[in-house]
Amino acid sequence: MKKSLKALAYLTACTIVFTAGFASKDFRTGRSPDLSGLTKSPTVKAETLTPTQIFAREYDRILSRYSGTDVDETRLSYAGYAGMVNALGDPHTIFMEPVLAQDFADSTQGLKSFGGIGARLAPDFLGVKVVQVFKQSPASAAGIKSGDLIIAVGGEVVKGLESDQIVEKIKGEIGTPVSITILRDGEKRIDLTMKRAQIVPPSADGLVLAGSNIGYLLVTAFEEPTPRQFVEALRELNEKNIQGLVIDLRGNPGGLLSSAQRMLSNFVDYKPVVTVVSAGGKKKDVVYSQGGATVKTGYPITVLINEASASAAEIFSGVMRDYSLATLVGEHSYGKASVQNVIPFEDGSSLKITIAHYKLPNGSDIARKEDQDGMYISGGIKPDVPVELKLQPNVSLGDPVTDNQLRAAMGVIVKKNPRARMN
Amino acid sequence: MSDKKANPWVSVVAVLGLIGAAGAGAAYRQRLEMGSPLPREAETLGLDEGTVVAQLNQARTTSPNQTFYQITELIDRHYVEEVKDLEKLAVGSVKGMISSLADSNAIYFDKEQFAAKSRFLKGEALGIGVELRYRFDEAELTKYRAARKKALSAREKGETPSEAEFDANLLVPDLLVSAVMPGSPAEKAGLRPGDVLLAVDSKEVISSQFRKELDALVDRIQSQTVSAEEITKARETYKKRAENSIPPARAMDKVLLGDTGQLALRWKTASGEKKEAKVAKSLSEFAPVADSSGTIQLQFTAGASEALRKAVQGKSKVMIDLSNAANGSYEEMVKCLEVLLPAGDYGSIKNPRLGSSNPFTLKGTGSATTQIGVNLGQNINANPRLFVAVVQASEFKQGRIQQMGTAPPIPRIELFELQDHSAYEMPTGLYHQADVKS
Repeated sequence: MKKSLKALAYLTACTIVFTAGFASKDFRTGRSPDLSGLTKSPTVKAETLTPTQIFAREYDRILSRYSGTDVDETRLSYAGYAGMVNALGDPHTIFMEPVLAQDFADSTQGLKSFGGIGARLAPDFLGVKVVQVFKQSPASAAGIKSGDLIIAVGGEVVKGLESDQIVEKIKGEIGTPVSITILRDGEKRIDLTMKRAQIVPPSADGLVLAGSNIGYLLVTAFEEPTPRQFVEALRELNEKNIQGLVIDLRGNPGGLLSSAQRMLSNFVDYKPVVTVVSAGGKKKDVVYSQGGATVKTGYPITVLINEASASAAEIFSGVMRDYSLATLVGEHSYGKASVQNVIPFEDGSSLKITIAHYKLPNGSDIARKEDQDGMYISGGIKPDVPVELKLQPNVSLGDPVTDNQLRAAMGVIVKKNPRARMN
Repeated sequence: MSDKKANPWVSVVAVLGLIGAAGAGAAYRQRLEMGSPLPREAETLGLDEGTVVAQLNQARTTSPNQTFYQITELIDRHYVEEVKDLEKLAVGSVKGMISSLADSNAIYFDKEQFAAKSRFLKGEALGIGVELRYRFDEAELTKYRAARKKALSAREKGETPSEAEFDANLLVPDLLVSAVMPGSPAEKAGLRPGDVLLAVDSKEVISSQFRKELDALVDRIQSQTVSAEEITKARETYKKRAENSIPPARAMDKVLLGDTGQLALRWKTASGEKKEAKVAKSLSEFAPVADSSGTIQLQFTAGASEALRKAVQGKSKVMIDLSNAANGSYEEMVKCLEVLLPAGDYGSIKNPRLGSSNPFTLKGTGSATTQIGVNLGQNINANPRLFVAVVQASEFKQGRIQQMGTAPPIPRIELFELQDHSAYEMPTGLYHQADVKS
């Protein structure tokens, strides 16, 4: 008697555990369990195909019936996965084939280092102009200054060459020597020989804009070392007694949210930076700034943005605006209000998937809206002072003479601070 | 009372049993959601295809179905929003596969497009009452195929394909008016088969010509040899044209769907003349067979074969006009052939990829002595072209002509409906006249 009771209890336990196993997926995803599948009879199920069956049937049908010769299994299955993911209608959730996935991995791991002299260059009539010299680089050791013109490389006059071609001549294998001739202040010719070194361009670097007492801080991405470089550059600019600061985020595609958060901590004390919403709106996490400004900034700040400023760059500029810490100048930003995760598969392909949305402190949602043809409708951060970039053959971003957006940003500072000046 | 000391293995087995039950529960759920493997559909074109597919399946180590299921799971678990309609995603995968074939005869129709197509096959044309077709520039298409082949082989060798492949993806077709339904608003407005649509509601339809002009403009901006004013001007022109354009697929929807509203259309006739008119959309019903002074104008839509049987009864000479024939349905086209031609084999349908070949057999009831003439025009596609080729094969078979044309093989296009009432069509074989015995 007791034995059969025991067996019955065990059987009941098995059933309960089986049901729990069936519903485990719902528990994982935080939904109330849907047990209808347990009770549905298989014949009813057979009427409608499951999503996987829909895919499987047409995949097999194309392979077994299509008469075109230009089709292969792997490509067809990839096109199927990509098509499925595209049906979500989210441009940031994509299936990446192995080739694409590899490119993507390379770009995020920062394989940007090369052998060079360590200077940012811009096109010029006589050759290339040094816009910025990186710290501890061969160029800085040789005494090259921003504003110098490189007119010859390896004894060869470079006038008339495209700037890309000149840069290619300067770059080379790490450790090899390169000789260049520079023209300083339009008259002094200086011949220099340097040993090329591995150059990892800093993602944040500052300088005082020529003919002014306004600092310029270019932030090209929000990477892991960016906050440290940012604070360091800010400190150096302060030592030069700047009376205003332009932070240039144009073309900055973003990067790590944590880097933006750390950089904002220099300006904002323990306040919400973003609210991250995931799991269909059920989960909300507020990210706070850490506070404790390490570098004081008592002067007006402007932030330059354009349509290529995205993600962390939008968070940074949006928070600066929401707490009235900076004036935004330029064009509307991209409008990327989401966070993605990349899940790799065995064959080298991967799935990039949107896992969360974020909102700025004032609650605004900056998500980009596009029409069916991918044309911009709305979204992004609107600048306080809208200025379109004037395209000219010799325009060079960051140059206080030809860059009209930068000039507008400087103008805002000069208007706010009587001690600031510009040419 | 006798088993004072319980065997420890019993409890181990019991616990394992419970874990097993939980695992079985989760597995059962996965099985239900994935669905059991589908039985392969009965092949209509012969057995050899089934064998080929069986071999393909054996060679594969990991199943795409499993990968697909895995991705739906990942989306379900991690995507920022709850995805309620997984069917939509599955249908999206079919759309993706069809467009990856890069074949102008492989087309996906969404629900609304397929509903309009179904009504068209019943003799009810929506929109302005035309049939539209993509027409690719043959030279561009050849270039595209070569680039694609090169990119594919590069990928196979593990190299990164050149940019050529991605550039070729921008191949843009013209929007060709291939048929104008009798009595339709389009016919009244003066549209004729062979016309090419240029603009819809003052938005320029993006064409290969349009793209080439924009490319040239971009090239000029990038070559820094032009003056600042010229760049500004070119940039304005580029922006304006891009903003005032419409992709062919959207233009097609505007012209073919719905039965209310008015469209401002601009088009180019076959002789190069540009025309424009305002055309109202409305439902136009058309008959599959219209007799105009002894010539039968034929559409392969519902009831065509029945109407054709009545129209040709007792005639020893039949003249058929297909110059305005829409693609119609393959089944109806075959039935029309069976009205006109006697039973027998008329060439074959081959699938070069699968290496299959099946005779094109008609269970016809027509008379061998009936003489059939066909007026085909310039713009007809798959089904009407196949019709003409079979009639030609029959004339050859009866000895009334000595030689058959050297036309390239004609695709047999089949339509497949999905459970959400969208659909796709793709070529499943190529018709060859050559095997006809006289």
